[in-house]
Amino acid sequence: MRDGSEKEYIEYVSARVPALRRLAFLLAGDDHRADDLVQQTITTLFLKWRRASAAEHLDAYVRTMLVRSFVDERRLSWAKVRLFRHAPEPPPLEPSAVEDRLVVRAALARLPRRQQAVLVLRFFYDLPVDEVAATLGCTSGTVKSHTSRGLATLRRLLGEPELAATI
Amino acid sequence: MPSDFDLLRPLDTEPSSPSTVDIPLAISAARRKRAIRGATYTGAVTLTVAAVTVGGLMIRSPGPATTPAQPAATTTTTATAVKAPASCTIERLPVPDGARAALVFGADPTGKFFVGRSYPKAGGYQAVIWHNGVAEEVPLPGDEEELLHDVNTSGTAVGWSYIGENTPMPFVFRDGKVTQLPGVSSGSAYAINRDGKIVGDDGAHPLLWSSPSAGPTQLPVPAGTQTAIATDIDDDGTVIGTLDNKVPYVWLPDGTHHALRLPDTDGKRFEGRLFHLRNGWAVGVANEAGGKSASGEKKAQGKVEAIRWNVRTGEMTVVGQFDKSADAVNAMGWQTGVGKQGGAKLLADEHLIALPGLAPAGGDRLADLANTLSDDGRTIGGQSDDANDNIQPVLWHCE
Repeated sequence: MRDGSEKEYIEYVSARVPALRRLAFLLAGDDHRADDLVQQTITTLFLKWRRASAAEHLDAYVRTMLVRSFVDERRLSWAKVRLFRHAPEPPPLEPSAVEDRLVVRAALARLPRRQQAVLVLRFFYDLPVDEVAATLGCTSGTVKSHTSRGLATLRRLLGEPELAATI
Repeated sequence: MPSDFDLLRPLDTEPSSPSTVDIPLAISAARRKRAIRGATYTGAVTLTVAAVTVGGLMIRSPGPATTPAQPAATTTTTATAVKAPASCTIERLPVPDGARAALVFGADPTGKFFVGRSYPKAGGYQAVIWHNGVAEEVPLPGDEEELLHDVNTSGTAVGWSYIGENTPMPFVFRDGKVTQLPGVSSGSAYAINRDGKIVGDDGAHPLLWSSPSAGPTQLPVPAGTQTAIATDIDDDGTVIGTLDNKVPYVWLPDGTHHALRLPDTDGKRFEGRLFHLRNGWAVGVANEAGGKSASGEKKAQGKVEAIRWNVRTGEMTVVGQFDKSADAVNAMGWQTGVGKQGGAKLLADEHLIALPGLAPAGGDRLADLANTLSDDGRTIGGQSDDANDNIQPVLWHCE
């Protein structure tokens, strides 16, 4: 990379790190994993900077990179080779003992990663269905079904069993 | 009833700790990746042996009945009666380039070469070979996940690397050079024997490369088989694998091939998966087949046994000393695995020897794993968590 575009890269990334960390944290629910996701994303971004910086919506391009890293289960498969030291199932919920945010976080973590990403992008980032579809590389129909299934499961986990059935 | 938006609102939106994101590190890591990056390819995703192994091992079940291991029945190599070691000590192997973690996944039968991978500081994976106590990074193309699976006594190593989003490719490392195995648009290499014959798969079919430069041959499977993989190859050319993730299968040097016997306790149907083969001894796991509706882990919530087969006689032994694990086997039929109460163990005939970890295992039953076992039973390769909970590559020396 020539000096000029490297400078552009550093300026862009420096400005975007706080926003990327927020997104990564919402998805991963863990500071360290969030920073890993951001680090991984900006490393790949450097490799692709020439093409990426020409993109019409650079922020959306970078967000897509980060979200796809998160939903790509295979990237986590080293954890399986490392041999399943942690059970794949998150711990059971104990709503009475913890604050709301932890309950919601724990409930969200029990959803499949794609559903988590769909819910975060739609309800935190207010992204329209077609943009979420583009980010995840799937159809709008898939985003809709992930949304309804994710919400239903979330409501059930959060103790609204009667509502889950109606969605 | 909260709205869909309100439902998620309580989530924290800000990380609580200061950022550890390092921009100069991203730049240097990217430069390094670019330097070692090879050509790009396309293809389809496949199943790795590691994942299959894990599928078998993750399952919890009540303990099976104990059946003592039998001594070797027939052998082709020099596997004379060797006394079981009394104890083993642990040695930490070097980790290349200051990586935070690494592990040994495969070894040659003499215990001179070891292969595996490291987890570089910048993230991702790096294939590694160890020889004479020195670690060397092996630059497999692709900057996604990669692993060297196996190595033979000449130091020729095989493995796979993802060179595209969902495209693993099989690679061989020989005389300091990485070459892609020919004849597949995607696939993986899992094992290599003394003569340089390599087995693996292309995501659907079990493959045999008669040399690192020869095109692959598809191993025959029974009609109706959906997917099959070849997981290991013996020095005499015998190959083992698994059909449809449930039928343990052997291809013999005379060209015949057949399924291996499975437990038939209480008339229940069993499924099995084969992982390692040495001198006619194959190891794997078997679980009760669930009902039609159950699948995956659920399907296997019944009994899961570690199994050792003699592929020459068809004899099958349930290994009661191990907790659903079959991590390695040597020419004498000795095995490594995870003990019933956790912890890495060597099973030498009827002797069960504990392998110490780098740090106290605490509650982690899987802090130490013995992934390789030399033919003389004296050198074991694997991984052990250090005091900081980082996976470290280790050898165990047994006397």
